Amino acid sequence: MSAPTALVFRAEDSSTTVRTARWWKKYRFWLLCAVAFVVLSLLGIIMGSGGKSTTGTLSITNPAPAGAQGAASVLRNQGVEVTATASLAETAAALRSNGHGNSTVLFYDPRNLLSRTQAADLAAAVADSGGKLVALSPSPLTVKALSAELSSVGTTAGTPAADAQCTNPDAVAAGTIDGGAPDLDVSATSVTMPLKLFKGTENCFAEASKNPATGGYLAYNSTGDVAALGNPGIIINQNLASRGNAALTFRLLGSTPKLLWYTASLKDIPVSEQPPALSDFTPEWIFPASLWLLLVGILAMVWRGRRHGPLVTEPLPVVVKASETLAGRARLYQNARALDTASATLRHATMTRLSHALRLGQTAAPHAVVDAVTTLTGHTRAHVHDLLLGPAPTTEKDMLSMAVELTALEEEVAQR
Amino acid sequence: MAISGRFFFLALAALVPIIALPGPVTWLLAVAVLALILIVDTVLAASPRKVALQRSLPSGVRLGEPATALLRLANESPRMLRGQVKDGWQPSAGAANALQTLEIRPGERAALSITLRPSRRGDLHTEHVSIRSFGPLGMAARQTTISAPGTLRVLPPFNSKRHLPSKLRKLRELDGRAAVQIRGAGTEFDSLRDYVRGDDVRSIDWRATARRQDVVVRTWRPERDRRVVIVLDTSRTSAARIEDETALDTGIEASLLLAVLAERGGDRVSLIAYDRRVRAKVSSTGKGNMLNAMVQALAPLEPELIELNTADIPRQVRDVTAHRALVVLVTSLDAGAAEEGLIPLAATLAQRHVVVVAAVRDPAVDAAHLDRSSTTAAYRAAAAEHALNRRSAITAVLKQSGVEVVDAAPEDLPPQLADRYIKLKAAGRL
Repeated sequence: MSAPTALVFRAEDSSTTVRTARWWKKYRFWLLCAVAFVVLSLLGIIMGSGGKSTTGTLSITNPAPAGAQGAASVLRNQGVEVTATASLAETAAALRSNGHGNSTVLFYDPRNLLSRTQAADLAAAVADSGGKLVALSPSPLTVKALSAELSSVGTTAGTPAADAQCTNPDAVAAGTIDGGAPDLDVSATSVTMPLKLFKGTENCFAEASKNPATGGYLAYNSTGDVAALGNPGIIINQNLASRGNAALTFRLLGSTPKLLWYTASLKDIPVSEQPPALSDFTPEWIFPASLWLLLVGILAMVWRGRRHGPLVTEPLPVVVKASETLAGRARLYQNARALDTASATLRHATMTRLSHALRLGQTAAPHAVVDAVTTLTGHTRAHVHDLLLGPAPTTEKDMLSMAVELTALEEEVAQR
Repeated sequence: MAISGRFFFLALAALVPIIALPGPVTWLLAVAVLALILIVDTVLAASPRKVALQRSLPSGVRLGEPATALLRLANESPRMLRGQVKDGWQPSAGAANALQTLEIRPGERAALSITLRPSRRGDLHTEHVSIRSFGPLGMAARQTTISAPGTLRVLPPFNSKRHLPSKLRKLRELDGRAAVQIRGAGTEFDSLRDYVRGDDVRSIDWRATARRQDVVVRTWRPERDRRVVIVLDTSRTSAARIEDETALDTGIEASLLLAVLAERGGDRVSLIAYDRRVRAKVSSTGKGNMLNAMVQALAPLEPELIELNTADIPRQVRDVTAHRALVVLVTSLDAGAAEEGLIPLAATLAQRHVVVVAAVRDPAVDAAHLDRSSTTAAYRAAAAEHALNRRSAITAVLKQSGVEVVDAAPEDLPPQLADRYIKLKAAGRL
């Protein structure tokens, strides 16, 4: 086994190309996995962000119950050009480019982002372009700004249905619309929208048993160009097919060749009113320094983590503790509460040792051993007999005391 | 490719300009400087692939003793090699300084001495040497791994050697002992000498006495040139760990002591390590150093997880010797099916040979069978009594068929087996 001292080891004499090829072969699988992961993630992001559907309430690209994709696509099929806009400026520009009298603007501002001035600007822009404005659930101040003739008269819990109760042709054509309160046959998870009542020159769809003059779900100004709809729930996908909802929706929104679907967004907030960013409070160097520390952290991992050569394996031979079988048998006895087996084994062992100590031979009769022990120790014969040949103990406590007595007896005999 | 701590701290220091002059330009400049240093240092480093390696390893080392492995490196590149060299010994070789730093000028050589403290018997391997070569700035390094296999054979410790002097003295005392006490079938006639008071009158050689005028007695010496065959069981039962060594290790210790003793006693020793095939086979019929041949053969033995093929052992013994011999079976008495394995085997062998069964006894069982301190301990005691009972039954059956049994704790087994050999020799039963 003496090492051959003449043997010289050298690095394999191979070119860089060969080594690169080998490296590629070795890590090919993981590299391809990584590439596939990155590509799939990117695809997911692109699909997620660039996809058609969104989740906003009353969004024309939302196919969910709360969306309005149904209304928008029906209008498109009827030849109305539906365009979604997200800011006042955008809407105004679209109005200008659409030309005079071609546009209807649906205005929806669920978060009350527009100020009164902006609302007034919107109304003016619509009026300038000769279009129509349909405001969905505008706030009381906004509705005032949109048209001085309109006003909000509060909210309501709603009724199952609401009748037109006015002479406006659109409302009359629709007849009855949903009153906003969930129908009995609609599941509890269905979408409910807030209900508002408005009052204008002409009020339609007043609640049953109330005077239409006090306000309804739909209110028009005197020219009929500005309408406030207090029950936008009729437009969403879930309710569009119910009662006269569709008729009212399409007549309200589809009367001009172009529809601007304006949902107010954060873009409508003036820049000065936006909350300050975190970067305004931190020093300028924080970001580059953190990024650098990240880089340094990666360097530290490379520094400490690079191994000196591949791992070395240790072939381990199998080794079993010899007393495992003993421990296993003991646990089996205990789990099975094998009192009779255990005590019989203990007694038999003691008996064997006693007969050996008393020189009675391997084949001595048990009674002979009992007699010999009685004579030698002076215990009563009954006691010794019970201990060595009596009935098996019935409790663990008895077995333990018996086991202790057996060793004591052995010691006693051994000492004499 | 690897970087040093120096490079890391340089990168950390670059934080100062980045904080002082925040901005993307500073950041990118810092990255560029670091990248430049990295590239320059890597390019200027000596190629670790242009290193020639030579190993010189000791031929064998006893377990528990340190060894030194030499690794010679020759720098064949035209640049200075500043590097870290790691010898890839397996962990149980106990290489304390496997990673060393060194500098070799172009075309020169260096030697690393690596101290090994093996913690396992057997063949310990090193597969490769990794060389990390730093550039002149000590920032970045090139690394390569050169395959350079080496093997160190770690021999059994033979701790039972300490019993050897006393046993040899006992063996020598057999020579020239009063004849009658040891008279037996096989004792050999040694010489005649004058009668001294105290000699047994039965050993007087009357014919010689008649030729001379003095009373002459015969003396005897123990027989020589007997065969001792040690069969070492390497099957699954030898994997049992008793105290802090496996049954196989204890068996090796006992076999070595017995073999050395028997060889000094003038007998011819053969050793077979066997489970289902022969793992090692040594005979003293050859020349010279029996002990060395034995430790070399026994060193790589490991317990195999297979059942002992008892039916084939008589044939193996017959292969070694055609004559009557002392057959020592170093095995286990706990074997699940001793009735089918060990007992028939020993009985078969006992018809032709003198058979000794040597087995390791677990002191844990002896300790457990009298411990009755709790209910759990009582159950354990019952289990231990069961094991002992079974063991003594096997022993009794073996003794009935004329087989000697040596059943002792790991540290006692080698001397007790040696004693049994001396006893048999003294009785002339070999």
